[in-house]
This record gives sequence, C-alpha cells and structure tokens, in this order.
Amino acid sequence: MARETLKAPKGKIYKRGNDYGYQVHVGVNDDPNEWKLVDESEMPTEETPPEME
Amino acid sequence: MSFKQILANFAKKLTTIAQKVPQVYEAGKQAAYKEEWDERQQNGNRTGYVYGYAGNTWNDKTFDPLHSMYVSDALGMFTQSRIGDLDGIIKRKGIVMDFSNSNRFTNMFGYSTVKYAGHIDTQKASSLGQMFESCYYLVSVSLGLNPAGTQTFSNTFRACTALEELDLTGCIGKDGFDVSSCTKLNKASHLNIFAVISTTVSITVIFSKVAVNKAFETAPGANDGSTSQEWNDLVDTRPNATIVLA
Repeated sequence: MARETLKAPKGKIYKRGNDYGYQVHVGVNDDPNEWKLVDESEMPTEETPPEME
Repeated sequence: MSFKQILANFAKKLTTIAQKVPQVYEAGKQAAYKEEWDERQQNGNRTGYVYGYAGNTWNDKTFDPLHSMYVSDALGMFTQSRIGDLDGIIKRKGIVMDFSNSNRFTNMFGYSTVKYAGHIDTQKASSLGQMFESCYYLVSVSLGLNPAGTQTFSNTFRACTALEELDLTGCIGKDGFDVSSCTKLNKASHLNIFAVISTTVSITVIFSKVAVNKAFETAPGANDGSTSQEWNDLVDTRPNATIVLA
C-alpha cells in the first residue's frame, strides 16, 4: 500500500488526538481518516522562555 | 642583641608571615573545597543523584564537582538549575559523568538553562519523560537510546526552541518522539533521528515544519524543504512510521 501525504490548506491543521500537523506522511499501516482538519488556532502555542536569572 | 636588632628581626618575621598569607589562604580554600565536595559526593561513592543539583543556586561557577559521577538515578538531577555548559565543565574538570546504569531520567534537566548537555547513556531507563522539557537554551545533546526501542518520550523535548544538534544512537520504537518545538534543528540531526526510527513498528514521529523547511531547502533561503525530493526520499525510508510536520 502506498503512503498517503496529507497537506493542510492555509489556516488549517490536521489533528489526531493530541497530535497536530500541517503535513502528515501517513504510515502504510495507519488510517489517514484518523486525521481531521481543524482551525490552525486549535494548535497549542508554546510558552515564552523566562528571563535568565 | 640591641633593641634595634630585636625590632628588625620581628619585622622580618612579620614580613615572612605576610608573604605566606596567600599560600595559607589558598591551601585553606582548597581544603574547604575538598571537604565540601567529598561530603556532597560521598568521596566519589555517591550514585543516587535525585535532584542532586536542582535549583537556581547551581550555575557554571558553583557546579564544580571534585569526583567522577557514576549515576544510578538521575531523576530531576539538574532541574531548574542555571548550569549552562555542563559538557564543558565535566571536560575541564577531567572527570567522568557516567549514566549507563541510571534507570531514571524523568525531568532530569527540566526548566534548566542547560546549553551543552554532552553525551548521556539512557539505555537502562524505560522513560525519558520531561527530560529536557522547557530547556529553552539547550543547543546540543547526545543520547544513547535503548536499542530495543522500548523507551517512551513524553514531552522529552517540549519547548527546546534553541536545539540545533541532537545526536542519537539506539532505536525509537514507541509513539511520542516529538521535536516539533525544535525549530532550529539542523539537517544532520534530522538524518540522525531517521536513522534510529524503527523500521518495523507503526509509530508516529513529529518534527518542526520550520526546521525541515530550512534544513532540507533546495536553495539558500528557499525554505521549501518539506516539499523537497530529499525530504520525501528520507520519509520513504520509514514507510511504517507516520511522520508529522507541526
């Protein structure tokens, strides 16, 4: 079975459980339908680094 | 002996004492340093280092170990410390920091300012959870993973936004390996990670799209690595794995 690659359109991102990705190279034994398109805003943002003491 | 001669002799003795003060002071300092670190490291016999150097009082100046460390437990060992060049300090001291028998690395460096972490053999541990979580200043680290690929990686590299060099041996054989925070990860590190991804297990590995676009760009400044043939060829070496660009 060939691998499927999912590429999210602008403003969107793929989500599966707690995993997010703009581009997903789906493994040959995995189900691409597990990945859902959601708004990019749903992706958790990184906290900013603290000042060094 | 005249009074004048007595005074001269006395002055000479005082001069000799004054000249020796720095040597005495230095000897005293060395003795105090040895006493402190002999106790802290149990004369080199200490193996359990749970939260051993945790907290912001530990920095590149105060972390000045006397003895080599053969660590059996590294849980939280350097968490929240302000040590930067750990690798450099160990090399400068001419000592060894051996983790090959350590069975815990959870939160080992979490929320610390470590920059150069050196090589850490993690093979005996089942989890590397939070090992470098929020290590915003981490630039390079080398890890010996378990060749059986049985280790878990929960938030191991979360928020390691400065990480450039990640050198791995062993095998990634479980879900959760996520370097999506590592936007500066270089090309060699990407190649290295792929080299240790299991060739049989169905797992998910997550990379930073920013890092991949830069590392595999087809021309300087193109930032198109994620669509490059080189990247796609690399992905195709692990058809069993779901490779995500976040």
